[in-house]
Amino acid sequence: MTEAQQNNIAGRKRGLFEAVPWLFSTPALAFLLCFVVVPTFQSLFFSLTDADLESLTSGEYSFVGIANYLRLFADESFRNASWLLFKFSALTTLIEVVFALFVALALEFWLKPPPLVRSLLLIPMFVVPLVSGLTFRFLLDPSDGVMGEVAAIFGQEAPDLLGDGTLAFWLVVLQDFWRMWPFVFMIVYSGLKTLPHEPLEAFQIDGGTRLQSLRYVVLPLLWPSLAVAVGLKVIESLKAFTEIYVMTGGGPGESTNILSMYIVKQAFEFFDLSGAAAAGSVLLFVGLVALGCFLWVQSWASRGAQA
Amino acid sequence: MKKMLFLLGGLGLLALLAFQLFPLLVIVLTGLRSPVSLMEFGVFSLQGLGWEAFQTLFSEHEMLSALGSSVLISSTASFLSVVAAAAFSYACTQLRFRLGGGLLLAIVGTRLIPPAALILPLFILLKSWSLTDSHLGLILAHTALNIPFCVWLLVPFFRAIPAEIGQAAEVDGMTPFQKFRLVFLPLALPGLMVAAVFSFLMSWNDFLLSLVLAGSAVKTAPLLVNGFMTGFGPEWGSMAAASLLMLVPVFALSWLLQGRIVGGLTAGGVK
Repeated sequence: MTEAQQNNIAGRKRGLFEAVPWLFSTPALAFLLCFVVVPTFQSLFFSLTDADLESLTSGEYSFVGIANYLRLFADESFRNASWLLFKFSALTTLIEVVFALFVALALEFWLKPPPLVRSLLLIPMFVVPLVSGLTFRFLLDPSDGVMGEVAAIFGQEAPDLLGDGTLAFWLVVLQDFWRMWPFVFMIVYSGLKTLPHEPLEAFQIDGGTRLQSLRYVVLPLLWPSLAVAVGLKVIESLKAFTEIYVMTGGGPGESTNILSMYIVKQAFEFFDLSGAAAAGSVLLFVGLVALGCFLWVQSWASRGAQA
Repeated sequence: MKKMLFLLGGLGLLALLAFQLFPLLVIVLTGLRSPVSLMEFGVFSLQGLGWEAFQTLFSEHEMLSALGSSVLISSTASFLSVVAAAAFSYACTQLRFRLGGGLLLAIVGTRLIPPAALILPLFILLKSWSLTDSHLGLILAHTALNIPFCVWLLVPFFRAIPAEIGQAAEVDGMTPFQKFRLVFLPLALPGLMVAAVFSFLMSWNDFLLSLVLAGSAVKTAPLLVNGFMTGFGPEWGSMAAASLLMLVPVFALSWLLQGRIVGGLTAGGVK
C-alpha cells in the first residue's frame, strides 16, 4: 500500500468518526436546545411585543420594539428589585466569604477542634432552601412561632421583626448566611487543606510569627480558592428565589422583592407576560455577565496557581 | 493573655455552633409532636413528643403521593441527565470532536443562568405542548436544567481516563458505542454516582419549577410543605413534620457522598 492510499483510508475513517461525537452529544444538546436555548430566544422575542397569556395562544400580538424595556426602567418596583438583587448578592457574598475564611483559618491554625465540630457547623448547607426559609419564618413569627413563645416566657409582646422593611431584608441575609457560609467554607477549607506545607515551614523557620505567616504565605496561596468561592457564591445569589419567597413573599411592601421574585410575580400574578419576559432578559444578561466574570476570574486564578 | 484569647475563641465557636444547630433543633422538636401538643406545651417542652403529626400527614394530607411525585420526578430527571451528560462528556473528551470545546463551554455556561430567567419561557413552551401540571413536563424541564451541572462535574472524570485505554479498546475492534458502554462508563462510575446524587438533590430541592409548572394535578413535596402556609395562619406543626420528611433523603444521600461533596461543588473550579 502506498502512503497516499494509507492517507486516503485514514481520511475517510476520520470523516466517518466525525459523525460519532455528534451522535453522542445529541441527547444533551437536544434537551438544552429545546428547553433552554429556543425558549430563551422566544422569550427575548416576546419581550419586544405586547403579548399576554391570552393573545399568546391566539397569536394576536404586535411588535412594540424596546417599549417594554423603557417601561421597565421607568418602573420604580423594577429598579427596586434590581437594586435589591445587587445589594443581596454583594452583601451575602462579601460577608460569607470573609466569615468563612476567618472560620477556616481559625479552625485550622488556632482552635483545632475535633472534626465532628466542623461537620456539625456545616449541616445547614444541606437543608432544602424551602425548609430553611420556612424555618426562619417560624423562628421569627411573633404570634405562633418561637419568637412569640420566648417573649411569652418573659411576659413580653413579641416584636414582628419581618414586618419591618429594613430588618426583613437583613433577616433574609441572615437566613442566607446560615445556610450558605458553610458552602463557601467547604470551598475555602478544601483549598486550605491542599496548600503545600513547604512555604509555610520555611517561613516559620526563618522566624516569621504565626500572624505574619498567615498574611504573607497562606493568604497569597489561597487566592485561587477564594476567587472560586466568590464566583460560585455570586452565581448562587443570582439564583436565590425560594427561600425569600416563603420567608417574606417579597414584603413587607417591596423591601425584599428581589428581581427573580419580581419576574415571577409580574408573569403569574399580574399576567404582564411581555414585561416579565423583558425583566427575565435583564436577569439573563446579569447572569451572563456574572458568567463572564467567573470565567475570567477562574482563568486568572489557575494562572495564579501555576505561577 | 493568649489563653484568654483562646478561651474567647472557643466560646465564639460554641456560639456559632449553637446558631447553626438551633433552627434545626426547633424544626425537629416542632415536627415530632402533634399540633395539639404544640399549642399546649410549645416548642421547647420535652412533654408531648410523638409521631402523630406524621400519621396525619399521610392519612389526611396526601404526603405519600407528594413524596412519590417528587421521588419520581427527581430520580427520572437525574437518570436522564446523567446519561445525556455522560455521553456528551465522552464525546468532548475522548473522541475527536472539533466543536467539542466550544459546545462544552456553551453548555456549562447555561448552568449559571438563574432559573427565574428561564421559568417564563419554559412555562410558555410546556403550555404549548399541554405538558404543564404533568410529571413528564417537570421531568423534561428538570433534566434540561440538570444536564449542564452534570457535564461540568463529569468532564474532569472522563478527561482523567488515559487515551491509551480508548486506543487499546479500538485495537481490539470495539465500536465507539461499545467503548463508551463497556470501557468508559465503568471507569467513570464514581463520577456518575456523584453526578446522579447531585442531580437528584437539585431537583428535590427545587421549588420554583413546581410552583410555576405544576400545582393542581401534580403536587410535589415542596408544594405540599408550602401549602401549610395557609391564609388562615400557618400550620407550623405539619410544616415542620413534612419538612423533616423532605430532609431525610437529603441527609441520607449527602452522608453517602461524604468526602466527595467538595469535589462536586468545585468541579471545574480549581484544576
